Amino acid sequence: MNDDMNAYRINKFLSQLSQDEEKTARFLEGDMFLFDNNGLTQEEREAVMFCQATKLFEAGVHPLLMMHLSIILKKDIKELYQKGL
Amino acid sequence: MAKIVAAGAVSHTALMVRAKDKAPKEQADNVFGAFAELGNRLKEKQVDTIVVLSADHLKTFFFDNMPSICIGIGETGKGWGDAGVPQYDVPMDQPLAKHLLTYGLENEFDLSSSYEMKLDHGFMAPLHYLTPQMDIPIVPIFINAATPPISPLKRMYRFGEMIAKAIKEWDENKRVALIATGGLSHWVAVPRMGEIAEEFDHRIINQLLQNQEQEIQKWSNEEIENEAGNGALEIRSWVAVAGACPNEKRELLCYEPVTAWATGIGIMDFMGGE
Repeated sequence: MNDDMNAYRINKFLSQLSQDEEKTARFLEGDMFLFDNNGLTQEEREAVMFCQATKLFEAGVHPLLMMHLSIILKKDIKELYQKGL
Repeated sequence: MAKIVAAGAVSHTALMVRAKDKAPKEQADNVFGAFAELGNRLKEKQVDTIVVLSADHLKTFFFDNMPSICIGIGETGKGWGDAGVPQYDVPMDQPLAKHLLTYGLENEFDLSSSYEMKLDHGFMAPLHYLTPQMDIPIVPIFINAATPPISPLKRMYRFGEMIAKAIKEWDENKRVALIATGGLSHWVAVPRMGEIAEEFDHRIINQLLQNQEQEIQKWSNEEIENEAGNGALEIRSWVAVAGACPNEKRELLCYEPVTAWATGIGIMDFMGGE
């Protein structure tokens, strides 16, 4: 478990993305205010932006929300796990 | 008095809509043929209302307020339009929903309720294939299957028993169907994603076909997750329907381990012998 990664904070951020198309669009455009508003740390932001599946999973982020993130970012989550990313 | 005239259980997966054409034709034909068959049976039995039991995929409910079981009691069920499912509205049977809620309170189930419970693909993907006209009112019942702590299967069985009793004691001349959605084996967004536990799937199917759910109720959530994946915890809706109609002759309409959808897909009529 990485102390710099807070699962609840990331889960809440991903939940908001999954419920709000406008936020999803802003996320894809790289709007950093979204992260600021949710208080995500730099490490958390990078893990989310690059869909670092293994890291998010080990931090305790909920798989269903990771699934949603991978769909938004058009990433193959199975492949990410296989590569240890 | 109301009567349960039909009951079934179907797997759901986002991919059966979004990636419908990625499954081998023979498997897809079997799955969609079974959906159509179950849908036809609902029509033939002149169902007035469908009680739909499903998990949610953290679309409607989040950690800030996570019920174990929640009944939708609004006028209209609004779909999220996720997973490639059209953004349907479906009418809801408010009187039955409120009856189930009240009956539960009087019978040891302190259920949550929601006037605006939006419905994700767990509810809407099966309805998309079973009742595409969205012309039969539903009572949606959310059952937590993804966010620990998760209730034991024996509790779900008792819940199903309670639902059946509530319907049979409902003072309305309605023909009610029960549809469970979820499972069978699948791993969602975890390292084992893509695997299907066919042996597990056949075991639960065979035990249900033989009305042996007393055995299934002994399985712990941990055992299910280890053997058949985090998504397999959704079989709790199947167990609830088994509790609602424990003695009926059941019929398996299809089982396909669809690798392209990363899910063991089962469709069962729980009152196939009627």
